[in-house]
Amino acid sequence: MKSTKILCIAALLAIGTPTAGTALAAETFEVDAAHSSVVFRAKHLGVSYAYGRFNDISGSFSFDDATLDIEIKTDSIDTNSKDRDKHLKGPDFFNVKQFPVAKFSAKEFTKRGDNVYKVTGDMAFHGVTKSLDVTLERVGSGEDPWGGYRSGFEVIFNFKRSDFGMTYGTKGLGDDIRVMVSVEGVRK
Amino acid sequence: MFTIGSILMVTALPAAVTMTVLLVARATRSSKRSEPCTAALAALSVAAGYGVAHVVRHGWPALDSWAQWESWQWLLWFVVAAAALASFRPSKPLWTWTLWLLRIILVSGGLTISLRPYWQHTWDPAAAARWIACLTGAFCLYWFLLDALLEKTPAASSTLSVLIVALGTGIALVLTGSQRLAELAINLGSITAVLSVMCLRNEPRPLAKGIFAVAPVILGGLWLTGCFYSETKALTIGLLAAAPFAAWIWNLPPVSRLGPAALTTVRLVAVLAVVLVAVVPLILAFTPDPYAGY
Repeated sequence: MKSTKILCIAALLAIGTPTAGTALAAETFEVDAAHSSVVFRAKHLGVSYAYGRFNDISGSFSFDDATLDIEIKTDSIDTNSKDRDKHLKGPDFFNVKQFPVAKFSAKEFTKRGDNVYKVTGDMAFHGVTKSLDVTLERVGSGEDPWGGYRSGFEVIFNFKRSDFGMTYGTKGLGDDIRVMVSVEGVRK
Repeated sequence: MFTIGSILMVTALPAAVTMTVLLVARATRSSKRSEPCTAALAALSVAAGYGVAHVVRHGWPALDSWAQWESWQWLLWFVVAAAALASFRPSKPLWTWTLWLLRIILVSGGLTISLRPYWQHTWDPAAAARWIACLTGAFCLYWFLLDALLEKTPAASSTLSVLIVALGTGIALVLTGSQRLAELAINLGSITAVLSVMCLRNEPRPLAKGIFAVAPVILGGLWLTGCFYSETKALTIGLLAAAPFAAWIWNLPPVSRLGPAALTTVRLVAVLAVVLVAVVPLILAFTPDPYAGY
């Protein structure tokens, strides 16, 4: 009888402490597009940097599971010039009808320091997929005013667009592209 | 942004290659100077000029990623195939049917490859089949009508019509989002220009046949790419495609009584008028923007 009582109390304690179970589960965050940015820059005519951004970003990440999947709609490119955006969306550059999405999928996280990770993953862009190493800085985590929990990071990396088959006009618009990704995620 | 170097690459280079290939082929051929043979050589020279300009300007597509080639990259191979088809000599009915069967295979295969992103992601299988069947029918009918046009009009005005349409296509494409496609159209324009000049000297009809064996593939491919992957409107493409048929104006009684030179001028003015109807609205709609090409 005594042992049955102890078992019941133990079971009630287990049921009554769900946070203990949650704390062990991996935290996965969904990208909050309104508070995330993908900005890029390319050298223009060798004299300055022209900046642009993508307005449609989605995906998820988890530092516990070491996963990171980011997807960008190439049609959402915005360089503050209607004519330039039209040109960039066409067959000379992004060819957004044929390649509507650019993706990055992490394969490996390596901790490099406080809140700094080396992330190795595959970047699929303009129909070509290549392995890429980027440095990820975890910016912070915390509760938001609406009862949710958020976490964010920033990644800055460079690549050559010609490596991904985007070869048009590299003399006028530089081949080296710097991409700055700032992501805020809401815990699922 | 067009620099002097790039302008020379898209104009002088294809014209020079075409002329060189044709002159060398003419000089070295040993057999009789039959018309189909010369037409095949002319088609080969057009393909060579276009191909060299394409590869020098835009590079050789990586063979390991052919599945991701863009439709304009495939155009190079469609041109080579069209030039190979031009070696057929449709002197017998069987050959004519075989030639058209091969053209249908080329067109339907080319459309299927060029529209791959659409039938993979946008259209359901039935819609994809309808699109490809309708476009294949329309394109083959267009090619048939161009052949008929060539039979009905003098070679010089036919080739100059192609030149006007190629240049109009270049203007339309650059104003609707793609300099690269415009350059490819200008490649064809420069090739046609040099062959038109050669038409004035000798063998005009075989040379014109050679152009008409390849030019529809280049123009059709560029119109398709402009419409499906850039922002070229179907109306613009329809007018450009219809323009060569304005040369049939010679059938009208007041015009048909003109002398050959005047008649050719009237025909070309008619073709130019239709091309202008296609491109002038684009020029007028173009608003100066701080953005100038890159």
